[in-house]
Amino acid sequence: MNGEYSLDTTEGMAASGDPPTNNAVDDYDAEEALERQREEENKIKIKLKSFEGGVYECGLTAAKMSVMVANMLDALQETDLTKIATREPIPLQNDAVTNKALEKIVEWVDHHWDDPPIDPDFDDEKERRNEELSHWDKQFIDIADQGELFDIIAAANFMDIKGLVEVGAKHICNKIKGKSCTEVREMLKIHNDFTPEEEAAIHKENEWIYAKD
Amino acid sequence: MKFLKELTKQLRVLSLLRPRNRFNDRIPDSVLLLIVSKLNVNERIKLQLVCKKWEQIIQLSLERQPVLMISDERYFPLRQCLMESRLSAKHSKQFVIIADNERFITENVLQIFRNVSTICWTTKCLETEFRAMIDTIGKHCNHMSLISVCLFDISTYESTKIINMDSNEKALQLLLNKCQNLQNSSLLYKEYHSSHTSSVLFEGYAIENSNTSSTDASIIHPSPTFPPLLGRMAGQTDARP
Repeated sequence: MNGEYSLDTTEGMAASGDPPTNNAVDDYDAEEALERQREEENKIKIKLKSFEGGVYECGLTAAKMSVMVANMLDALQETDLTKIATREPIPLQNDAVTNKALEKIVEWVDHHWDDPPIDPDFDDEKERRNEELSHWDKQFIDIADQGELFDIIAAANFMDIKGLVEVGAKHICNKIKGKSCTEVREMLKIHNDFTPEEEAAIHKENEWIYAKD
Repeated sequence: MKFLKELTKQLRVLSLLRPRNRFNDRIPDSVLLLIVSKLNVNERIKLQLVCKKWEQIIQLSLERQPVLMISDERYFPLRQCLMESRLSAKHSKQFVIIADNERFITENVLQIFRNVSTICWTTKCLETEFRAMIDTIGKHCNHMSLISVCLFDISTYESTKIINMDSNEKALQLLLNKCQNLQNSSLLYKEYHSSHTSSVLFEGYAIENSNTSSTDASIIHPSPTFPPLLGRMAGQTDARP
């Protein structure tokens, strides 16, 4: 397979008039190899244990989407990855990681394990903001039970799964967009802890913006 | 050991008994910050009144924005605008003017245009308002041969482009084209009262020189080195100090 790709790439370059570069071919091979390794690793199933004690199986590559789990696995210093599968389940000691939440998280990482890794240097807020959720993610995160939704977001944050936290944040953001403070409070069960005076002061400070409503 | 196990079990039960559908109890501050950062600034400012926690987080998100608070009552995206325009605050000639009605133009803008060469316009202005603006510049600011316009999407504070123009007609056309692309942007400022306008102008200048009087318009001197991206005022081309 690798040979085929190498040949095609070189031929393509020669045909276009560019001198074939070994580096490009090597990079391609390296990427291919990494892809295969991730695929192989994902066939290894590891066990994750929720706060409530439920145990869920998950592909290794998928599980490593959680930075926390990846760090824990690194700490094991296990060279033979297949042995990881036979180990005790990894306990996730946070009350947000309920059975339901962990089940959903495993579903999400299993779907997204082969996503390109998030570029940490990518900081284009506008682009990120405008990026629509995929149809699959929309359906995934459209959860009627608000408690469950919050658990998933909090658990994803605890497990440090950036992609899923982003999906949750966008979903909440879409829900509160265009709503008044009262509506947001009602929807998210938030207690208004402002005194009337404090509220009036903030209102006055930003009168120009409330005047538009 | 047994005691510890029992304690853990009890704690687990207790935590599971907590109401799980209350946002503030469940969602960490870092996630709330991420959520509000996805809202545009208007919405953020509005939602400050949800509760104290939200107010603090929203304030934090606004501080993270390159937004400069110029007066007591208003946030002004000046710094971002300057940055995006590859300008520096040293150039005292660049100010952001935001308005959404013709009255603003006729009442307040004239005095500013005498001294300001960069206009950042909102994206909700109507064609007639743009025309009025261009006319105003033409009639009252004869010393300004080139008009530099920085249009930016006010909902994200991201400037789109600096446009150098050599005629008012071109400027108008470009402005209108730009605005059509940015129709979804929301407006940050309803309008300015004339009393605020001068204060904003001079407080803006105070970035460079805090000793600047806030009443005397004549103290705003032409910028010694005019940024290359922007147009130059007539008579200034060869007379840079």
